[in-house]
Amino acid sequence: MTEGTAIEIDYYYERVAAALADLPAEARDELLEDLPAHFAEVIAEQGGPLVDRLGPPATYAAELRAAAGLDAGPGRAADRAPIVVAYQRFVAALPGLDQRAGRLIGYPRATQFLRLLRPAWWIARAVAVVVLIFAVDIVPADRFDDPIGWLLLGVAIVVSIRIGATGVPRVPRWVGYAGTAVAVVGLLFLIANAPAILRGYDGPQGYYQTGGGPFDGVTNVFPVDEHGRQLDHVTLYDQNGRPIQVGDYWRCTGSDDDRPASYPLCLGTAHPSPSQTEAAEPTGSASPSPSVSPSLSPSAPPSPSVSPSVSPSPSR
Amino acid sequence: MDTTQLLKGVLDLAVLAVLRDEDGYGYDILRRLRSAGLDEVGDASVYGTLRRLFQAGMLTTYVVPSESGPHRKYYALNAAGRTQLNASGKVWRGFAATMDQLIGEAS
Repeated sequence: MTEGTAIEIDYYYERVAAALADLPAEARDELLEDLPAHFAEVIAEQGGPLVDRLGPPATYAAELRAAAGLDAGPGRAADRAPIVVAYQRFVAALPGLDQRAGRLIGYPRATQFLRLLRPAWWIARAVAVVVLIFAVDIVPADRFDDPIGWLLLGVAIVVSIRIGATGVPRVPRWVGYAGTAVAVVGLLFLIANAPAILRGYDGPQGYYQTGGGPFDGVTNVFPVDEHGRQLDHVTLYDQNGRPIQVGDYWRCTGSDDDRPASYPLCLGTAHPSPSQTEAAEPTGSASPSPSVSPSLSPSAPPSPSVSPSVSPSPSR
Repeated sequence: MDTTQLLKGVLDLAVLAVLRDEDGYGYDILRRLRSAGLDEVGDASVYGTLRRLFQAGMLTTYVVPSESGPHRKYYALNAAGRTQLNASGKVWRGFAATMDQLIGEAS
């Protein structure tokens, strides 16, 4: 084989390979692996140039693709999806099951029916992934009460359908597997949380801040009596005897998680006392003098004598 | 009548048939088909068909080193390939007989 022949083979081979670039790497490599040797044989037997013997590389590639049963076109990428391939292998292993299962539901083959369900899966996997994204707070959207949430969902569905229908954009196989795994986890998450989702995430007990309410931004509550003295271990109840929980009540609950929040929260840790706020007010908001707080800090420790008498016993 | 259209349906059978008695490499198989009278068979079609039949488990391959040129990959019929050849052969004979009869009546 002369150098010129080798270059010609390389050139022709590369153009055929380029025309098959959309095939899955595995199938393409298998199809191409013996081609250089084959081209060398053609030149040795018939003489060059290859284009005269075999036609344009693109035509050659198209013929190769068709003969090898790797016809590409819209939707064909989906037929090569790992789950479809796995199912087809399963069906091939159990002859007749496909038809029998299909007859049961009024289709010639069960695969024919499952094929119809694929667009539903494309949408479901997009929803599942987006729900998971919300669940782990990756985006600053609070589920579907936010335009960002709807936008994200819309984009995810469009991309998912497009990948399913056309295989474009192509993703490495492991990304596909990982995406499917995430989607399945998301679906399980959806099923597990279906009751909570249907109720709009309203827990059965307590008052959760969902954002935008009048207590939005409140992190703690400092009850005071008529003399302005702070009350400790105060629990707030509504008219039905359900504890009212505002602020970051989960922060300092410690081991007694199930007990209703006791205000002020996080007793014993440093926090501003209400008297301090009162004292600061006369000085004017324009110049909050830092000298005020150190002088008043000794009054901050709460007097335990007040606390037990205050908390009302809820009527259950 | 365009024989390339006809060929598409029976190329598998033709390739299996020329491998029945003797193993062959890609170009060799192409040559056998052409010398048998299938002049219009395309290089890429034969090569693609070989790959597909191999994938389907009807052919086995082995490489034979060559001193004069590139190493050659030989294709050989296995049991599944022979079964397929016999089955497809029967289908073809039945089909051809039907067509013969049809044409005989018409002309």
